[in-house]
Amino acid sequence: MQFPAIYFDGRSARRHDVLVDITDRIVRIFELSGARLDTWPLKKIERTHPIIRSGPLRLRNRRNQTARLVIVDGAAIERFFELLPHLREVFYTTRRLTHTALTLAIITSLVVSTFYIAIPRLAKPIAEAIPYELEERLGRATMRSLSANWPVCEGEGILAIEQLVRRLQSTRMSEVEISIFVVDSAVSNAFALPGGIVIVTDSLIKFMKDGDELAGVLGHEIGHVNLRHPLEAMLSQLGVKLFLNMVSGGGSGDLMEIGGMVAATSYSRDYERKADEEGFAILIDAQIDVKAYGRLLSRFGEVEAKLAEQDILGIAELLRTHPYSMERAEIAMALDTLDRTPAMSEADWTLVSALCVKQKDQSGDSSEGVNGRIDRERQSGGNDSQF
Amino acid sequence: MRESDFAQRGSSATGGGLQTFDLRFVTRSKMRDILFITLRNALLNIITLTFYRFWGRTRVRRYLWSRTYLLEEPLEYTGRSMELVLGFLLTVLLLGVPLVGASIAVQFLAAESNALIALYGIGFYVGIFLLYGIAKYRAQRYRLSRTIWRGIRFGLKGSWITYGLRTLVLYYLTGATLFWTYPILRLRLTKQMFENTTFGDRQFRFEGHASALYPAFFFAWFFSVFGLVAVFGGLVMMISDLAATGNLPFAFGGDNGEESPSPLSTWLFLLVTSIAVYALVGLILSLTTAWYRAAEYRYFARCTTLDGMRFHFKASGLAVFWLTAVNIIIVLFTFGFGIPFAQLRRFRFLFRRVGAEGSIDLDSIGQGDAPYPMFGEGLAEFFEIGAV
Repeated sequence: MQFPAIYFDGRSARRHDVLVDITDRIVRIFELSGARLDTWPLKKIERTHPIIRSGPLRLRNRRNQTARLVIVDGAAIERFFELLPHLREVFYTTRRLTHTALTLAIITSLVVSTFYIAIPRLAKPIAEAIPYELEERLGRATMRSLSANWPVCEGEGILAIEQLVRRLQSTRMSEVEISIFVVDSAVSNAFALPGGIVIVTDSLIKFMKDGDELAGVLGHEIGHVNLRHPLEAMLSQLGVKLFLNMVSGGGSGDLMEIGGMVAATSYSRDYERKADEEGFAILIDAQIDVKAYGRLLSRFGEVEAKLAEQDILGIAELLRTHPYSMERAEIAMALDTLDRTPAMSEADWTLVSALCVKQKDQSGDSSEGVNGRIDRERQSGGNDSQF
Repeated sequence: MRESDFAQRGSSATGGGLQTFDLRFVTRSKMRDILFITLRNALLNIITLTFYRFWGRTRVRRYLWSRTYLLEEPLEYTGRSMELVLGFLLTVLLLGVPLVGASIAVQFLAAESNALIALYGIGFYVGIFLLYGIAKYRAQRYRLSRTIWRGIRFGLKGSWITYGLRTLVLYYLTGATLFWTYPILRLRLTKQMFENTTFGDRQFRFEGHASALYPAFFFAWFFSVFGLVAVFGGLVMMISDLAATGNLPFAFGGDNGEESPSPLSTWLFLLVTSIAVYALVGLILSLTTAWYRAAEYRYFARCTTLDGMRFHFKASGLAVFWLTAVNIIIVLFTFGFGIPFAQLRRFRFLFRRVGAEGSIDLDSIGQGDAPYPMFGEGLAEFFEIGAV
């Protein structure tokens, strides 16, 4: 049986009024005069447009990119639906829906595995492949830009800290030379940069009670340096950032920022744990009280908890950091150092505590206590590497 | 007009030879459908870290094209999501990775050489406009190559490099002349885009001169400057007033030992203020430039011909203002998720108001030879050019 239809041959914009003959394998297209224009295999026929109620059925042939067939006759449309039931589907065809779902599933799993497996695993070998000279250069460049905001403090106390660093580092075979800086900053923190640069802020030193606590922090940072964490961390943060930008097409991004932060945090926990382990070993080998570090951490945890209670926005941070500092403190407290000797003399500790004070007096800065400092740190969205 | 009265409209659609038309696009897209698609895409974008956008975009286009009719035949979008994905990945690989590598290298070496940073900066600001132009042209080429009407493809010929260079030069010129060459920029870029557009083997023509746009531009420029001065003047006055009475939720120049404001209120104040300023500036500019843009739409359409058909565009300043103002409000109140919806409104606006009159021999139009790119839009992705 033949039905009237409209045909565009894909070679010209001319509209042909045609008759179509539908069998269960092919569709033949004839001009009104009877001349055959085209033959379409039924299997290759697809719908080009969604179905609109009482509208025509618009078809194409997968073998021909541009030819189109428009079926207006109701009986013909029914015949097509009978032979090719998927043409009837209103919204998405099942085939396409399955296809999309599958592709999305593959992409999502690729995204997730890149994020949690590939990037952190790749950071280590890449860091190892980077020559140490380049790492030093990167560290120096970073230090230079940091010192613009955080003036480096000078004084006799530095010599005492350097002596302590040598004592700690002498327990290890490492060839990395540690450069230590005390900087004037309201942020209570300590961290390691690539190239063996260790930075402690004066605010953190003020928070400490003695040289043993300082030794704990230094042991942890030296642990980071010896394990080459700073470069690795920089690389994996860069990787995450690049990857998220790539996925989102550099798209705008609070969502992306959050993703990056989550990843950075989950990586950094692992780093902190390893640096702690290395730090404990260094302290014990250098015969310095390992529990002092635990005491410092638990005081830090208390301050954090107090701050978190006051701040609605701190809830997420409380969940993340508070039990964490305490947990780390507990591990340190469970350890013990035999035959321990103080990390430095009382006199040296006084010199260390006096670092940056002179500079502050000159700038007329008033003392505001640890709480105020940590508060300011939070407001400025400060580094939360937690020594 | 319903799809059912599809059969014929006059004798215009059949038979051979030169025929006279009064062509109008008919858009039968429904806001309800569009809203549904937008919401669905937003949801899937969140789940997939926005990677679904390639599928979402294809879906939106397929819908819009299929509901836009000319002579009772709908347009058809034949692009595939995977083409967009591949285009994007290729761009990342060929352009993104080397660029990121270069910027990292510069950061490594930055401390040692100021000249290097300067060079990088210059390269960046030249490159960004060049790439923007290229991205726009190539995206348009892809979209047109995937648009079919009556079995005939649209296309975009011409050189994307020329378009990129032209964009670069004209943008800098416009900045340097305090926007006084803006009509020239618009005309030259539109001309290259329209003149190279093809429908099958026929090429569009564009004849026009920027001087026709200057009367409208003159008013737009002065009103805009006046509006911006008023907004920023008012803002400065408001802040200094608040600071004088001590009502600012955060203090400039450090706290003086008083109880310090919580980070939450500071953050909220900054957020609300910046959104309000953004909205205000957007609304004022959409008002002050609306009549100019309406004039642009009308003039560019009038300059465009295809064989014997001359285009026209029906738009008043008020209509353009309404379109933009409502779009700004939609985007603001949906925190950006309404962007596709706003773009759909614009799409409908354009197609409902454009038309062409004159004569053309449709039957003689054959398939053309405009470039048919294998992948789509990679670069445009980075400039967020048209989600539609």
